[in-house]
Amino acid sequence: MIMGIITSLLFKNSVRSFFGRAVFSFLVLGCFSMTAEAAAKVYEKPSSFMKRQFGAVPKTQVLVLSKEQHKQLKSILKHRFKEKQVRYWKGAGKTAWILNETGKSEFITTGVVVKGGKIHEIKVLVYRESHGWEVSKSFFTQQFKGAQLDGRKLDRRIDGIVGATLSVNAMKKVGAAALYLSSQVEK
Amino acid sequence: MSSQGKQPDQVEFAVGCSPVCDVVRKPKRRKRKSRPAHRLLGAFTALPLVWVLITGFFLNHAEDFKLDTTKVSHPWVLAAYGMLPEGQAYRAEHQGVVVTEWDGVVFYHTRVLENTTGLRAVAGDTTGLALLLDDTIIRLDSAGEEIERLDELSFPAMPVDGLASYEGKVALLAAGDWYLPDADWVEYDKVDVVLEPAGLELVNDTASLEFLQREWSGGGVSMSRLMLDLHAGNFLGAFAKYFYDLVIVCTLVLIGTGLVLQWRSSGRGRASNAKL
Repeated sequence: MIMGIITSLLFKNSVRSFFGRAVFSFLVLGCFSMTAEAAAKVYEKPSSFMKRQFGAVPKTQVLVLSKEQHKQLKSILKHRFKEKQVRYWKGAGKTAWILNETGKSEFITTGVVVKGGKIHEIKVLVYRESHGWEVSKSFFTQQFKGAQLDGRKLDRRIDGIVGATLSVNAMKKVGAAALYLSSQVEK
Repeated sequence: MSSQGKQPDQVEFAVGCSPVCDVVRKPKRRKRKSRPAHRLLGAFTALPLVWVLITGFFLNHAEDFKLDTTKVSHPWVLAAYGMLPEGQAYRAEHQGVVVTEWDGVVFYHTRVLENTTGLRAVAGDTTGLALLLDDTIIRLDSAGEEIERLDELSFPAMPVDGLASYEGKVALLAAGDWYLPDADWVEYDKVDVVLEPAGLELVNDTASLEFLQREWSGGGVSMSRLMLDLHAGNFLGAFAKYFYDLVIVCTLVLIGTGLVLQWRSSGRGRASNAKL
């Protein structure tokens, strides 16, 4: 179409006919745009996650965070941890945490089970972003199994996913935060 | 001297033999297209190119013009970016604390509460407020700071349909019954009372709505973002993409025809210099 316009430009002296063709071409092309909207995808309900880990939902326990713990969490998450207390569930030598961390703009609700100071399982429970949902797949979450806390980060390299960098980073931070919080309740 | 009745001899005329012959027999000169094309393309691409150049100049000096810190909150601009809230604004008040919700954004007084959507009810106790969202309860302290977020694991029963303030505590309406939580919201006691669930009221005050509209959009669009979108033609959607493609092609042809014209001019100059 562009070549047609240029051809008509070169072989027709009438300016009016050129602009007429140009305007017609633009109108034909139109102005459509598509947007993608994100809807929350629930991969597993928190209650189902707990029942799968412990057989039944254990008694809820609360860890009220001190200033020092807030400071440590801030260094792990690279932002202020807003909540003043965190809930956890214990049983069979495991501690389960359900934490929310922002990927790009929405929370990713993640369940983390810690056993013996290592990540036993990490699972995306609710994913709300429009991109990066690949972090919910087992090929990615399996990398976390057995990971421990090394300073303020995980002790191993977690391979990223193209197009899901922010979600991958959020998962790594959640894993590290869960390990730290577990160390606090097991003192 | 001519003799009467004798026809003059037929003479063959070749090109260039006389001025008269040249008019009749001169071979048709091929029409030059470069100059009119150059002129027309120049006229066509002038305005978009000037537009791109001016906006590019401002973007190049964004810091000097303070484009990043300047915000535009005109309703037309906000509407173009889809940054105007839809629907109605609702509010709830508890002991002087106002919580407002408009199109998925919840405000605690004038501060936006992040990652909060679907406000359904607000109730207060001695420690602060409880906000019932679609699938979560957010507990706020008296300063509006988040204490914690509660999900289905922390509720006495599902679904949670309402909240109410009762005897200095927040009561939950879960699965048709009212429950009172302990201080940590871990254990719940069922209460045999009938309470009125807290509701939200419509915001009608124009000044409040204008303020909320501005805050909903984060104060407005930064001038640098607006300038970048004007530079790239993003306001016009797919039309701008194809239009800019056309301007690019026309500009390239413009350069090409300009070079051809320049080459011909220099060629004529060389030819005239050679004659002299």
